[in-house]
Amino acid sequence: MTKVMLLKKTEVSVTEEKKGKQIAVKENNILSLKNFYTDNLKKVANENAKLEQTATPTEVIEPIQPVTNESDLNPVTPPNIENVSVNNPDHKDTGEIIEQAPTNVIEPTEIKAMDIEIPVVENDLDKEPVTLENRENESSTDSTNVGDAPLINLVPESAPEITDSNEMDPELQEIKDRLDKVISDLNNYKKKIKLLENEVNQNLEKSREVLKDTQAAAKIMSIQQERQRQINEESGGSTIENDPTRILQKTA
Amino acid sequence: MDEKVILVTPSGEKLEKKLVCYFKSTDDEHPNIKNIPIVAIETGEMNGANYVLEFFWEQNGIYQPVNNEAAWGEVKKTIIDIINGKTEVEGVL
Repeated sequence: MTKVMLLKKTEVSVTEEKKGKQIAVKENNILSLKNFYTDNLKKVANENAKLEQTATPTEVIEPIQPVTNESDLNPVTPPNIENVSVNNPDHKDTGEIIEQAPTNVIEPTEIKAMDIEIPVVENDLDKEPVTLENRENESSTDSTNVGDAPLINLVPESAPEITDSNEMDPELQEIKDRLDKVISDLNNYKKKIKLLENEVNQNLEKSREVLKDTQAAAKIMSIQQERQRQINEESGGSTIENDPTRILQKTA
Repeated sequence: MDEKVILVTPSGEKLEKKLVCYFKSTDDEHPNIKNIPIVAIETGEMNGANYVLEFFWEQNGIYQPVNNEAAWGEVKKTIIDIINGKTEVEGVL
């Protein structure tokens, strides 16, 4: 495998010579080269877009905040309810800390189907020009002149082997397996997140019930306190010292 | 849709060409062209039934003909590998 980096530039500076080294290739090979370039540019752009999407999994966990908000909305905030939050790992109803989805999704390296009949027909301008006699001896029609620059067939016999594109390449198989595993992992994460969401909702429901109970208890307590206060007020004018009957008794 | 590249000569002349491939080999097996940007363009000329491609490599910021035999051999080898799907893309710059 030859390793390459693709480059993107719309303008390049060239020498005055303007003419570079040349080779001649078949139409399907030029298409392969173009497709290789454009497909991989698109692929990398897509990968970057996917990575940006998978880089914000924590946002999904945001909805767990409403418990705190609800207590904020309600003026009755008993001490034991005030700090209830599913984000608080110390609270008994919090449950597990939600595991984050993996941010690195392994993408398979694209392997193009090979549709090559014959490899590159290479010609080199620096070599001896092909004479008419030579050309007649050649069975191939690959080498002809390009303008003033004669081209020479260099290595038609060193054609790289063509593999059957229908056979599953072991490397491709391995990539497929890895992709399957990633998909399976993602599904597991989805299930896990769903379960955790349910758990959070249950906790939220519980917290709401506790909040209601506490509110009711606080109300009852407040009524009792009010009654007690009234009783105290009522009895405030007839304490033992101020009880007129007692004073009368003392005087008598 | 073809990719395009504009060749700018020292005199300021601009030539728009069809870009075939623009890459640099990062392979240790290509020591003569390793990390050197190479641009392949369509000349628009034909060689019989075949298309003529032209190659420039970057030297000191200027793209020029690959005037080194060993390097030229490595360029051709890379092109053959790309056509045969034996190339691994490490990224885009």
